[in-house]
Amino acid sequence: MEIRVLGWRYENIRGGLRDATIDIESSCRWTLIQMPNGTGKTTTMSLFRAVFSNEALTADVVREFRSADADETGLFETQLLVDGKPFRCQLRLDYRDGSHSYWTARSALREGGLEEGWLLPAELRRLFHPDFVRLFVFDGELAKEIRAVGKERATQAIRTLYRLDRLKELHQQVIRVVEAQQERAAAISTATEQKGVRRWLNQLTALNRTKELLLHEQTRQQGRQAALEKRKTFIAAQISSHIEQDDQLKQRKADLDEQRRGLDRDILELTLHSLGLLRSPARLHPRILARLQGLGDRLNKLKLPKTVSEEFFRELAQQNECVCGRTLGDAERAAILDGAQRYLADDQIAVINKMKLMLRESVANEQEFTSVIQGLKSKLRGLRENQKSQDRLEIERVEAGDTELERLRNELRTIDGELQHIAAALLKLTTKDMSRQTALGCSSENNLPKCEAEIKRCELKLETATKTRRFARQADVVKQLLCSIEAIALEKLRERVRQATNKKLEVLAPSEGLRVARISGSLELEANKLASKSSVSEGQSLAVAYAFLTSLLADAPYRLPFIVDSPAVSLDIAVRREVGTLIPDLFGQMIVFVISSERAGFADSFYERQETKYFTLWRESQEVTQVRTGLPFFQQFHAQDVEV
Amino acid sequence: MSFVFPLRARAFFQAIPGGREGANKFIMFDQYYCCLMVGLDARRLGDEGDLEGDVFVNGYPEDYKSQVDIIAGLLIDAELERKGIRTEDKLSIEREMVTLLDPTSPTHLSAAGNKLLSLYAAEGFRLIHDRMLPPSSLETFLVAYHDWWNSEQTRAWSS
Repeated sequence: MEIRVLGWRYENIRGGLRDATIDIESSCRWTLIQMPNGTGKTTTMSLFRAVFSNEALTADVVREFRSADADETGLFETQLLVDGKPFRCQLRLDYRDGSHSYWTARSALREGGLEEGWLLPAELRRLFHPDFVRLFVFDGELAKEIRAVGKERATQAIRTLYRLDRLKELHQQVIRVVEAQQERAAAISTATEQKGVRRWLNQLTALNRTKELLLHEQTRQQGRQAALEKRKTFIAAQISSHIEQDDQLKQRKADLDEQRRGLDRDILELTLHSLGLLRSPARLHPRILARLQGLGDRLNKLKLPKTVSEEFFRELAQQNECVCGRTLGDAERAAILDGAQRYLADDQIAVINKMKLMLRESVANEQEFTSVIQGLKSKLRGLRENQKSQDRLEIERVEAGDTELERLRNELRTIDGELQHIAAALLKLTTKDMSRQTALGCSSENNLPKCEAEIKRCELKLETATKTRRFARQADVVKQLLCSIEAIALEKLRERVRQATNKKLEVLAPSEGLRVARISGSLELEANKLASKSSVSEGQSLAVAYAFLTSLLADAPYRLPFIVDSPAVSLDIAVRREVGTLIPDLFGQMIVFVISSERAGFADSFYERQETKYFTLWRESQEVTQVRTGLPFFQQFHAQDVEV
Repeated sequence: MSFVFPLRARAFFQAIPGGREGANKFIMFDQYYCCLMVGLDARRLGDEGDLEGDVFVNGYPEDYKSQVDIIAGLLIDAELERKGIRTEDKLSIEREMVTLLDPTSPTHLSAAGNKLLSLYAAEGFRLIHDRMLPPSSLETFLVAYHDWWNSEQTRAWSS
């Protein structure tokens, strides 16, 4: 991302900056602004920092920008180019109440008008922290601080500029994803810890064991049931055989068996006949038939459905005149349409007419269903009688002394009783019907469907709990990786910046062999024969700062303007020349505020550079600052330069 | 258009062998219909809570398709009486028919009409369940159901 300053404008700003404008051509790489002391250099730097960092200013600070007591408002406006897109950022100052506001004009907006607020791209909002802005809106006085003030400044500058903060954001995102997953999991299960997992695992194991036992019990009961049924068939055959040992009884039994077969056939036939009749409401009961006919008659008597349909009124509402000849207005039409809803539609009328016809024509033999059911009842009675007769045959044989038959009959009764118990046990074991489950006291301990449902629930809980734990552990691994990446990246960047800084220092401060030993939080210096160098001259401090800053900014993914105030004032002439030679090529755009004394050795190193623009600002009277462009005036300004 | 089975009715009819739709089978819709006829006859609605959550069948089975208009008529008749609409109140009767009928629906009933049908079935099942033992076979049920229709109880509420 590249940010360039295209110019700025003052209104009623201290230092006589009542109405001054600096316009820099976009192709201009270096801009030298010559301003005598007291004409607003420091003020301009402060305003730049405020505008870049969306700084919140106190009322006192706002009022300190006031040019004269009579001024009520002030303005500082910068024109920026962010990745080729123009922006205008205004800082509006209200000296009356000490308030201020930021306004932005963006080319992206169709109107291009000003909007209240600091509306530079979001990426810059994160980058332009006040501390960071001070690194590229830089004055010589800050050079001293680069080493000492704000112990973390050097490291933080690397973090910010090389986007290592993004890794921190990613770290936070991972935490948020884990929290969201755990929240989701908590909705199903509270078991997010090992204890919970173990609990569900134990419960699942127990349930699976119960299911095994229940299945085993089901198999056992079914096996017993089958064996008993088989035994029952065998006994029934044995009983028949005993009966048939008596010729008279044998004949009677054959007759009863034949009768039984006939009854079964009749019962089936009558049942199906009854079912057919049942499915016709009119045949089900005379009362229903009477009601159907009654409704049909009532509709007929009331002349329902009416022949006038909903459609008639809808069509009428579209006419200009009613059928009675009166003119229809909007109110009448609305009333007709409203009333139309109360009438049946054409297709409804057709259905009702069909229904009415069916109702009125509903005829049925009122007694048919009863008659068939009576027949069925009779046959069922016959069946019971037949069963009793079969029993009597056996009793007669037993009474005649067939003890074996008696034993078989007793066994059969026992088997029937046992089969009932088995059926009941199997029902309790296998029923899925909720009301029956409740009635039988079913639980996951004695009912297979309930046990299987509980297993499913448990598996879901366990799966969720396990997944969450695994997910959290995986997230921990990712977080550790991010921390390692950040630490390694920071170390490598520090070393790269340190080496680049030292390379520049070899040129800027060659005499003592001044070097950066380490970039921990701040810059730790060393010199020849000195493991640690804590006291350096102002010039050395500035040289270190430039070397560091230019190294820092050189390979950063952001191309920032370097705005510097009095870059060479405290440097001796030799270092000035080195700084003047070295620094300009390190920045894509450089705006340098100088005083006339810095021309020699520093500013004059730019004179040969074609892409340089020169401005001279001075106060002709005591009130208003004048602006003059061009190198000749810049060079000759010494006569007017008034040092304070 | 859909029918919702009365809650707990499946268990009640469990012993009767059911099966696929057909003249020889006592299908689930037969069970629903038996409950419905009792509910309509009693002119009482059950609660929504007395119904299963889901629809058990969409539309009338083949054996009942000829009864579509008859069942719709019985519903109208039951609703007129339940709401106390006088026999000569032409406007109210027509309004009731507008509400309950939908010619485009396979049951010829509106959504409201279909819902009422299931509520009548729910009440019908409640009455059957209160006074009948779960049947052990279809034939015993048919006999018991017939007797139910001819019992003093049902005669009392129809008089």
